[in-house]
Amino acid sequence: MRKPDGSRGSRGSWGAWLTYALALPLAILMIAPFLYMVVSALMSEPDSLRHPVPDNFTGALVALPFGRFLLNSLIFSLAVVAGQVLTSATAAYAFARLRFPGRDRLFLAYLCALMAPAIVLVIPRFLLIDAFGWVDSYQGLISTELVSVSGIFLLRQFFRTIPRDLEDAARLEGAGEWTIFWRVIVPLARPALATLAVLAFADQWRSFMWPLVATRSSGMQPLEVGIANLEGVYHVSWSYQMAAAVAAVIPLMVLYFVAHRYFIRGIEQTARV
Amino acid sequence: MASVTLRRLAKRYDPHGRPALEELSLAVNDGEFFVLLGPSGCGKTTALRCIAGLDEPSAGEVLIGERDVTRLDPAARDVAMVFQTHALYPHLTVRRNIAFGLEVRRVPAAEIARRVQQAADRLGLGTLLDRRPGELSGGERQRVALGRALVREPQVFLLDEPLSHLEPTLRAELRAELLELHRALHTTVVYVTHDQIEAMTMGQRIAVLERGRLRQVGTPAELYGRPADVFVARFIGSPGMNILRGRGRGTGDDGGVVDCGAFSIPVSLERYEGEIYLGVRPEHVSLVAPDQGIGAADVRGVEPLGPDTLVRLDGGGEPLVARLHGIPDLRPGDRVGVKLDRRQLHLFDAAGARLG
Ligand SMILES: Nc1ncnc2c1ncn2[C@@H]1O[C@H](COP(=O)(O)OP(=O)(O)OP(=O)(O)O)[C@@H](O)[C@H]1O
Ligand SMILES: [Mg+2]
Repeated sequence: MRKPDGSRGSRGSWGAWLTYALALPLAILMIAPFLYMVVSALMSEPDSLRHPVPDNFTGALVALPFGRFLLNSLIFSLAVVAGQVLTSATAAYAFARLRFPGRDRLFLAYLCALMAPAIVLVIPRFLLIDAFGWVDSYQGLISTELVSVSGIFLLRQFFRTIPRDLEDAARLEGAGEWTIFWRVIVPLARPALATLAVLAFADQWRSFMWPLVATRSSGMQPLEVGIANLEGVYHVSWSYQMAAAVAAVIPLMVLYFVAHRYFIRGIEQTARV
Repeated sequence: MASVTLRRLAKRYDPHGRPALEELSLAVNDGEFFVLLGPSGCGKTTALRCIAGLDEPSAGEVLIGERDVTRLDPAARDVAMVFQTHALYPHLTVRRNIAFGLEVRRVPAAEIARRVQQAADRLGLGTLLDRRPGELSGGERQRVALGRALVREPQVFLLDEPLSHLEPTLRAELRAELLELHRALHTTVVYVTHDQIEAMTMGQRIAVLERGRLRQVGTPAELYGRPADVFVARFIGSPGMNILRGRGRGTGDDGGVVDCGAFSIPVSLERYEGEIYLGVRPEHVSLVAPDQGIGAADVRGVEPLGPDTLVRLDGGGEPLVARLHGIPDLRPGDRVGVKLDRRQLHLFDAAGARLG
């Protein structure tokens, strides 16, 4: 990351102080609910403010098939991310670069689909996977999520910023569309692809409504759905829920810490369109 | 190696707008260093892209050697192009940039290594092979772009303003290197530039384009000595030819006179009367006492260049530039007489085309 601009004398460091002074309350605001979640996960019921007990974590792990939820979440999220990155990249390349009749109108139609609230699509999707007999299965859970219109949009914007001469140079040297796509476009778009992957992973990891509808057994449920069921199946345990939530958030945080450089560069680059 | 022939090549990007190229016919000889010259937007890049096959012409044909390649894929034409923007792959090292075309064509690895090394040696890129384009200077990038074209050993090189982003000294240096390379390889080169000095110093022949139309093709000496029209006359030379607008009239016996502004210029004009353009190069204008020569003019500006000096004049509304030896003792506001070298006058008709 760039260092704060303190080297340019007092004016620079005052600017840096001001930035921090403004950023600090925002940071506290963002992190407070999270800290609360961690703290209450460590507290015992009923008066959770006095005795922190790490037992809640093990309690949550024992009370639920937590490992199974975690595995389901991982399978579901990773499969969807892989699918979305692949379909978004290929579709975005077609929309950004290939010439075919009706291209821009088709793209517009896709964008309109983005306007439809996700909730409206839940029932048709369910009917679809039901028709295939895929309810409560990985293929049912995953297949409907493999295309992301916003992913196509993000990558299309990025691909359009790649100079056309690069492609033409490759074309002149004997590269076909696939070679150009894999050897020129994809390597150049790595930051954008990483951004899309992180956003999509976070989205899927936290997704609730679709897994809730598409699964029935706890053997198929991802974390979010499983944690929510804690309430219904067992005695309501606030601390257990918080403990499970903390455990569920950890992979996301790891991902952000690992990927944030790429991620920020990707957002900067796509925002510069 | 091969010749390049364009037959009535036309390109129209916008069906309602002005065409980018109109009926361009050219014959570039095998092994020739041929320059396409013209101001920005005249269609130079478009012409190259049509030769390369990156743009499909709206009409006309492209021949490389005896082969009609108009409908052929770019890859099948055996041409290499250096783009105006260099178009190096930023994610690949110099070595991989140069090797890319060979890798794509599945040339054996040992052969690739040998040819990349050869191209790198020729262009002095040996120490840069493991850097990425972002870590190179403009001149080095330029060389890599050339290397990428060179390594393919194509029949024709297409170079699109390869030196335009470089500073003047480096440009002069690379100009010489390019010519040397051409002398060594004897490959056909179509070189695009908007810089007439570059064109004059490098081109064996030059084609001047303006707004998608071919104005003249010829050697540098022909373009300079016998410009085909007013546009070429003004465009070639720095500064370009003085063009005075006037009216011709016969004086009887053996000639005529062109009246322009304050000047009355005797010319060997046989039968032309009416509106006419008279051209004279700055070096063929000399200054004399105010009451001598073809008329008087006011000095507007004096620009010493060292070996000679440009003197900007105003002759009753007609601007005129003279190139004088040394640094004359003149100041803006001085009044001088103008004399033109009678053997070095060019006449153009009202539409701008050369007379005689
Ligand atoms: N892809 C395109 N779509 C529409 N018009 C284009 C396209 N490419 C070029 N043109 C137009 O065609 C004309 C010629 O462009 P071209 O790029 O060939 O000019 P040029 O001579 O190479 O100019 P420069 O010296 O600035 O590079 C210009 O008027 C340009 O606006
Ligand atoms: Mg151009």
